[in-house]
Amino acid sequence: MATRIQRISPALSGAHAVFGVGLVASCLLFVSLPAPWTVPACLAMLLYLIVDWTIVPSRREGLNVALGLPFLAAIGVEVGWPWAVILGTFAPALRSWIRAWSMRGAVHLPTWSANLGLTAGSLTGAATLAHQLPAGMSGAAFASVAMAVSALWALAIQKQQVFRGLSGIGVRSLTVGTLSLVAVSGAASSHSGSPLVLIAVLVPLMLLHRMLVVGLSPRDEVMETMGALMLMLQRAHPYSHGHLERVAKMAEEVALKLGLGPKMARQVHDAAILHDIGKIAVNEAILDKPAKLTEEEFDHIKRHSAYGAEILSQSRRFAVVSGWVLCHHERMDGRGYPEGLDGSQIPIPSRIIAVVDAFDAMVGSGTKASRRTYREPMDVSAALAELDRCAGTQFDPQVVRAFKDVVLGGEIV
Amino acid sequence: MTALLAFAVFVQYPRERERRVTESLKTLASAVELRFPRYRGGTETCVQWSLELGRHAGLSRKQLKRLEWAAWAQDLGLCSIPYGQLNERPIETWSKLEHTVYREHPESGAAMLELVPMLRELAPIVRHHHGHALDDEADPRESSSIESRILCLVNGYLWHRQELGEGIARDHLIEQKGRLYDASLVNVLLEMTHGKSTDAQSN
Repeated sequence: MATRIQRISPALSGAHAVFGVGLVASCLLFVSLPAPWTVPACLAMLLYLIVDWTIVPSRREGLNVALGLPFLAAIGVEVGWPWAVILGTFAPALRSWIRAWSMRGAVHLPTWSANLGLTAGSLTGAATLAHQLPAGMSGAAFASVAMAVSALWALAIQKQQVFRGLSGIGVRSLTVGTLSLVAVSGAASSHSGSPLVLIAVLVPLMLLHRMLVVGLSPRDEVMETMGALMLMLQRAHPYSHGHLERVAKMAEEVALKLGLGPKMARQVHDAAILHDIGKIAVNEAILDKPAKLTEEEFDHIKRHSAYGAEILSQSRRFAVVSGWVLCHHERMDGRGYPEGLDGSQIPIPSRIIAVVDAFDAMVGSGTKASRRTYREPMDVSAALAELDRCAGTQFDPQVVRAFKDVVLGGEIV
Repeated sequence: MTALLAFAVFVQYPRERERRVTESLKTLASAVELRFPRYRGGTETCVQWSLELGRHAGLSRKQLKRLEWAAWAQDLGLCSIPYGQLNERPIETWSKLEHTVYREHPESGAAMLELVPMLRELAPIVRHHHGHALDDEADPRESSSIESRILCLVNGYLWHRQELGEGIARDHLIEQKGRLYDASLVNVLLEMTHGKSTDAQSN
């Protein structure tokens, strides 16, 4: 499978555009090769693809981008479609074995076999179609069918895992696909030029590969920074273990249910993971105190949302999220803290986090380690009833409704 | 086109990444400083001194960047220390166990960094950033990098300067030269501080 897309980060749009333009430029150079050089050039390119791990993985986003499809189409046009199918099927299969070996791991055989079968099937179908068409169109047809099958397969997998909306992914798949098709059309339609063009093609390709790898890293860095902050918080307050992950997962689902869109929902997830980060600066002896808190102690705890915003404001990437963290204890009736904002002044993500955080605090994970010291956990129906009771005063009724839909609809396990 | 790509890959992206990692580390450091206000501003001071010493000692750009990041990350392990121990009780009243917990903060911080792929390379530097000033059995000259030795020296110097004054801090460096601290680095730092103290006196 030349391109497998499970979820594309918004940050990728720019990288895709540059990637596409670069790919077109590379292929336009590529097409100026004289006929005897085309086959070795294609093979050299494929060798590079295999050796240098041209599939670019983004671990966090589940995205893989391969640059090989246009060149596979060129192999089909120039050498023969069976060769394109064979190379396109076995190169990624071989690569996954080598990658697993180099990382001292093992290939998951059922997944590997399923990928192999699907890749062989989609490429054979695409090659059969391409074979029936005139030479000028065959490369484009091959690439478009292979791309479409890959994208549909990826979307099917993703939909099975959790529905994230097809629009954004579809549009980006089409963008990458269209740019690749333009490149393929160029590559398959001309055979003249100088052998030196090989170098001129390989260098930009390697740079593109590197650029995609580096371009994908910001999201990973955000996740890792959040991971480090969570580690610190869990060192300071071990009870928070599990609470942050649960709140983040539920908050993301509620955001999607409220129609905020995948990108916003992701940001809500991040804010929810970090909503209690200010508790690093709170005395754990007070936070875990089994008795009733004094006013002074409660004031100390109430500072945690402002502390959290202050910590996150150090990074531009958390600028939006820090505002939401600041407001996650505000109430609809204006009696919350730290600012005492009312209804419309409270950002929706903060209202979502408030509801989910309260629910998780009431219910807990059921494990003794994560229970708060000052009360026994409630059951789910009692906690939902409590949220209902506080809707309109403490919580946003619309958010409470959406949250109940999510919980009762079984969208959270 | 190729030139633009090369610029993006080799110049722009690395710079952007460096900026992002620095911001992440400042975020982590600010969390520690909020938990323990006595350290507020201390990390940044240590970063500046370490970088200056590193430049004077002839470190490469890459080493300087690693030194800066390690300086921001050096005290992450402090968040394992109970709030009350550092904020509410003087060091003289700490129990033996509390001293042990404090002394383990470099190891604790390094353990956290090892769990974060983009910061993993800083773990060995942070692990030894107090050298054997807090562990008499370890020999920093054998087990730590130049970055660790710089952090160890700067931390020792800044602590003595803040608590006991510039003169005693310089005496401490001279006394521990080649023992607690790397002798060549001490020479560089003494030269640096001599210039600064002379400037201060003339002003």
